[in-house]
Amino acid sequence: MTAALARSWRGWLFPVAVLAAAELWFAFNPILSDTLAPPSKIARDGLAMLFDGSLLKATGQTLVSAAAGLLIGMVAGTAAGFAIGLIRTAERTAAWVVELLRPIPSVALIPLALLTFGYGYRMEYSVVSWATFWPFLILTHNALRQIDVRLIEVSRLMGFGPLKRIWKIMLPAAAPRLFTALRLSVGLALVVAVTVEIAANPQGLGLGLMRSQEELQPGRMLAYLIWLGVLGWAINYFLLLFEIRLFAHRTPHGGSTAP
Amino acid sequence: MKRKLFAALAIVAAGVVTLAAQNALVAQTPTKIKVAYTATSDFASGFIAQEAGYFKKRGLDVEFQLIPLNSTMPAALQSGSIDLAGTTLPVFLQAVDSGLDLVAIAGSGITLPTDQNFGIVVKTDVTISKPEDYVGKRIGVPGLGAFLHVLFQNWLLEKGVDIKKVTFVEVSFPQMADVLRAGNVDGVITGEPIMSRIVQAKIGKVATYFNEVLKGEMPIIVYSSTRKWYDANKAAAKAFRDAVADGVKDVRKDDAFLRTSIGKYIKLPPEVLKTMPINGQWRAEIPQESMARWLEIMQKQGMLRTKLDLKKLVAE
Repeated sequence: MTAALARSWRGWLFPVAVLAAAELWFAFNPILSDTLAPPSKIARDGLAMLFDGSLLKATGQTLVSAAAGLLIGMVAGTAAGFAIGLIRTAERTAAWVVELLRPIPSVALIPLALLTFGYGYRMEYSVVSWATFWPFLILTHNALRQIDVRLIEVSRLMGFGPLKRIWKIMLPAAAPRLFTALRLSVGLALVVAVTVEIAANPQGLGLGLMRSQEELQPGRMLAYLIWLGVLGWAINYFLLLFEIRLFAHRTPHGGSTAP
Repeated sequence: MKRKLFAALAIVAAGVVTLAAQNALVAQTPTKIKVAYTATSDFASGFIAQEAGYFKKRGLDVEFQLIPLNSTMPAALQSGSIDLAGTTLPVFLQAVDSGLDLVAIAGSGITLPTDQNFGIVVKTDVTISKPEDYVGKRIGVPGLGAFLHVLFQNWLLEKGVDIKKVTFVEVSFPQMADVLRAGNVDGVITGEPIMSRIVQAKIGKVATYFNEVLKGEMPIIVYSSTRKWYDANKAAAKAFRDAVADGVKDVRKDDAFLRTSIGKYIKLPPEVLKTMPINGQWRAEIPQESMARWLEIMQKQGMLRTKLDLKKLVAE
């Protein structure tokens, strides 16, 4: 415990020193800047946004967009992954379509999404779901390819129908990879959602960033930026924790590793 | 027989009363208009019209929505998620040139040849004594093809300078001071309040007010809609323009009210809002000749592919 605390203190030492140095630098070099602000100003502005509710409102809008887009991408990607993983004809037919469409960057779809849906949640869902669809499709497909053939044969011998085979054999076998796809996609969904908000959609943390910059409020802008980092880290931390709990029985030591 | 006659009369009377009530309700229900704007005081006349209740007085329920990039607005208009887009003229004209059927229904901020709200600010150690001195320089503009970039290129062309020999890079307004200080560019094309802040901090100096070559008044911002919306809401469009015209009349009446109104829609730091120069001018009407000047300037710079019909661009 003491060793862990000492390690944690050492970890904090560098960022604290950087912040202190930045504060001192701003104190002795008062410059006019609309993009930089001393740490104390960033902290004050961040707290002000927290207490007036604007930070939480923007966070809610971004998280709802990212989560809904992720859900759509996850369901569609997993379903498509199962389809091309189970049906040979579908796999052959879809191969070139997948290779053609997958490299299209999701943000390149922003103008099209804007023209179709206008400003608002639907536009953001559509771009986020496009970005997250591919990791699920690819990893589900790969997971199904790697299922032990003997398991499939046993399920046939036991008289399992196709649906029962998917539910009892394939889905549990694909679950760890699906979770990996989820972890990859959560970060991606957050990044894409904020990018869409910065580029076009007037809501959420992306708008907060842009608006603060345009309104000559660098303290607020940097507070949004730091908050985004904290949010991404927290989501990843809890997902990792959840993954360890969920698949503990598959790790050699019972999943006792801390995230 | 009499009873039947009374019943019939009662039904007719009830119908008339219901119809009248419905009409009254329709007359009282305000027309909702969602307006997209950007963070600039060029919208001050609209902000004042909203704060003074001029839209409400004309039966309009106007909602202002801040959009960071005005170039996204034409697509949003087309999708129906906004009713009116407050865009700069290059964005409006290029959207129409690309095939979107838009119509300008009201004006907002305007600029004049004598305007000193915009200019090119060069680094303090850069010397510009004649237009040719810009050749080979690296100039920051808020957006390639944006309103200020187009007007500066117009000045260069009028002075006989080849615009291809000047390098333009995109620098957002808030970054201009830092980018200029770091020496990443020789100058920036900017406007108030950024221009004053850069000069006061002794990072740069104003080298040219490029509006001097303009042949007359030019709109900076127009509120536009799709033609479909305009055809279905001609009365509301006129009411909107009239309310903005009332806002224009009030802009210079009360400086404190003007600054409070701007501060409500653009959350500037209080010290900036209190001291920034607001020298802009506004006009709700869009004279055809001012639109024609934009067409001429943009065509000269090869920014329009088609010949646009001036009469169709502005609402009656």
